[in-house]
Amino acid sequence: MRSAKDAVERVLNQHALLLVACLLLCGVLAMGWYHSTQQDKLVKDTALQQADIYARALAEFRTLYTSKVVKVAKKHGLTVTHDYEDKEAAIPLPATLSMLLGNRIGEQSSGIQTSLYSRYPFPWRVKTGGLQDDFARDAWVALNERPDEPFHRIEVVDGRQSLRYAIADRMRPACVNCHNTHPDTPKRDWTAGDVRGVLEVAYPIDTAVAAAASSSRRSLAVIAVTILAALLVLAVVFGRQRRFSVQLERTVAQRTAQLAAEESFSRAVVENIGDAIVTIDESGRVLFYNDAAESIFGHPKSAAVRAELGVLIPLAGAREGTLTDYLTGTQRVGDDRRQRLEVLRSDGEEVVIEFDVRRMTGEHTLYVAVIRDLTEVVAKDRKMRALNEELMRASRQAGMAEVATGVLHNVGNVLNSVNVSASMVYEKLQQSKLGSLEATVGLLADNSDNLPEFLGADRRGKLVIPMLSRLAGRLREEQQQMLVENQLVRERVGHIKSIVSKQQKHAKFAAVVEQCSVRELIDDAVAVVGSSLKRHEIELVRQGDEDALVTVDRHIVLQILVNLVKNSKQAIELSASERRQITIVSSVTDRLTISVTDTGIGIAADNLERMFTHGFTTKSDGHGFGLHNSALGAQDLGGTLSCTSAGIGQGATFTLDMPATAKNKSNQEAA
Amino acid sequence: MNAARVIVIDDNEAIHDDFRKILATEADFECDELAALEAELLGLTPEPEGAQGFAVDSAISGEAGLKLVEASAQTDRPYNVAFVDVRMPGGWDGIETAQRLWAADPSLQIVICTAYSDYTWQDMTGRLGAPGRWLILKKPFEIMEVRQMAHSLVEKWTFRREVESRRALSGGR
Repeated sequence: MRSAKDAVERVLNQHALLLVACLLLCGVLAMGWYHSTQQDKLVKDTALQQADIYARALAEFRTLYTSKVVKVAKKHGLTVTHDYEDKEAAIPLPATLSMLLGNRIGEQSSGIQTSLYSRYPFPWRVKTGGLQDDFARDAWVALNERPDEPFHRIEVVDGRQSLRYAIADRMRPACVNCHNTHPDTPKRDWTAGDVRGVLEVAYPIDTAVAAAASSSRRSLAVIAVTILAALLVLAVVFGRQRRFSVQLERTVAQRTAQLAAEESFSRAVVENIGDAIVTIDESGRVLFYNDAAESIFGHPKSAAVRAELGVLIPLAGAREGTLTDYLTGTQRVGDDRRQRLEVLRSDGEEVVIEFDVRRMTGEHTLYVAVIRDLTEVVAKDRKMRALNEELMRASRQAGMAEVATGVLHNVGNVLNSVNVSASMVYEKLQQSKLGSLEATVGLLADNSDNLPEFLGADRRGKLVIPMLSRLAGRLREEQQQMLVENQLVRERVGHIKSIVSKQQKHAKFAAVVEQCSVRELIDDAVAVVGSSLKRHEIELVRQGDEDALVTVDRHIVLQILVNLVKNSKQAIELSASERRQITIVSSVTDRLTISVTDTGIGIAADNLERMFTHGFTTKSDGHGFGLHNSALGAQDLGGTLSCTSAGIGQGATFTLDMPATAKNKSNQEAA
Repeated sequence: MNAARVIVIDDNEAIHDDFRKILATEADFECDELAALEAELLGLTPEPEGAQGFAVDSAISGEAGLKLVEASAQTDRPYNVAFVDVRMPGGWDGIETAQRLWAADPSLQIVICTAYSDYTWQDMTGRLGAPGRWLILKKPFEIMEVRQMAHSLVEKWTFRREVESRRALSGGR
């Protein structure tokens, strides 16, 4: 149906000019035909009228002649006869005269022929007055049947197309007697009103027909020319129209193709892009949802489209608002145009997304969100950071090993010399001649009764003095050597001391500064004591700017925090208080402040001042090093560690306050 | 009899002195007169002659040590034992030095001195080859340990020389 209608329309559009031409041609033909028939009719009507007038005029003339002339002439004795020219005082018969008149007029103009004929002609007119041809016979019959109705036919007479018009010549009362009594009459029973004969007027119409035809042709020619001109104009106009419309169609086709290409391109991009594209209206209803969205969120298109986005994809964790709020801008995360959120997939898995929303205002306000799945990126990031930390720790350890190696080598060598010296002294002492001195002294004691004789006369006694002198010399030498060794040992111990102190100085500068979030710091610190907190049913509360990033020597900060949390835990364990809670509050400006508050046993006012001194402890098994070291560590970080407590049983708060961004000391040293 | 020759290669000169003290001849005391007096006056039998001391030379780097060893190898009194420190800053370390010393004098007995393990056992055997050719001396060392090492290595060196010269003689015959 539709195609048929289309086809018709197409034909109309494409061949309109041809159709108009055909219609006009038909019109012209119809008009020509109509015109010619009208002309014919006009010609015939005119001929009929003229023939009628002519015939009736002749008839009237005869009537008048009969009544006004023949009657009088007869009264005055004139003969009325057809051969009046041969006789004296004779006038022509009415019929004869009327024929004469007709022929005269016909000869003078227009070629109209008049004839009078009958079935019953007088003998002198048998040749011309009888029924000579078919028309004559037909007219006689027709007029006898209907005398008042003229009979006519168009026929060729003497080579010219003519209207043959016949009317009845009725027997007038004045004539009846004469005709019935005339000696030559072929019929003697005439009555008035009988059809005596037929008066025929042959009126030539060929010239009129030809004139009409030529006028018709002229008119037709003019019309044809006019129509042709009109067609030409139409053709030009149509041509232009067609060219214009063809161009228009081509342009439209091009544009359509372009649009289609662009549309398919956009669709291809939208469907194949890795990012999810979700369009929602102001109420959060999903209007569009691409393939990537399916794979990121797990919900199929069929379930997603028309659903309320906030209900479909809930936020993970304890964020305020719904996903719709974030996309429409009622809620925001961070300052960037690209925002990050954690949401739940259809299978309950957490997905980290980053999104960029465009607000499109029109009839309705729409929000087009381009959403990227960052779960893997974030996980990788986290992994990278962990790896990085691991690396830093390893490098730190490697650095420490390097330092230790150096120390071992230097100290080892010196220690070797010390050992050698000590061993040498030991050997010297072992080999000391002190024994000989003692033996010599024993010899003197044995002979103490007669010493002068022994020393002077005895063979052995005489050797005692030289012996003592040698021994003194030898012992002096030994002493000298051992003094030298001793000096060496002292020098070398001094050397070791200087190596160690240099090392300590060096180690102090080996701090490694790294960036991390406050959350990570506290997470790590709590992780160390976390399980024991649970075991002791201690509640942990964390507040403040844990998302903020700080750049600190993580290890020192961790040591301090672990120490503080442990102390708090122990303080609570010792307390009878029902509230068992540790609160860690952090704040970050240009300084990082972390306070650890417990509900433990508290600190006596007298002790507050002494809290950080070396060796001070209130614990039965404490050394008093923890807080002291922590305070020193805080100092190294360019900060302070302070402590407040309302008194015994009132709990305590320890606060670490330090710059949030530390300069990397080791780097500075290296430079 | 000439004293056995020992060379110490170590970047630390204090160590040179240590070795010298431990290994050098005890020539500092005038022993003989005192010993005679002791025997006569106190009836003490004189102590047996102590082990002979060593002639100790030293070098502060592998390169310097190699020169001394090369020079001694040309004489009829080459070095018998070398004490080589593993860790020497700059130049060759002890292992490389040991390899070069052997290239110069294959019969040289080598003691690798180490304060801690720069090299694992596998590393050292891998680079130095047969573990029977060298000893490890851990610092800080005991005097007796060093002396014993020196004595037994000199003995080993002498024994090897004898075996080799005998083998050379029998080979020549």
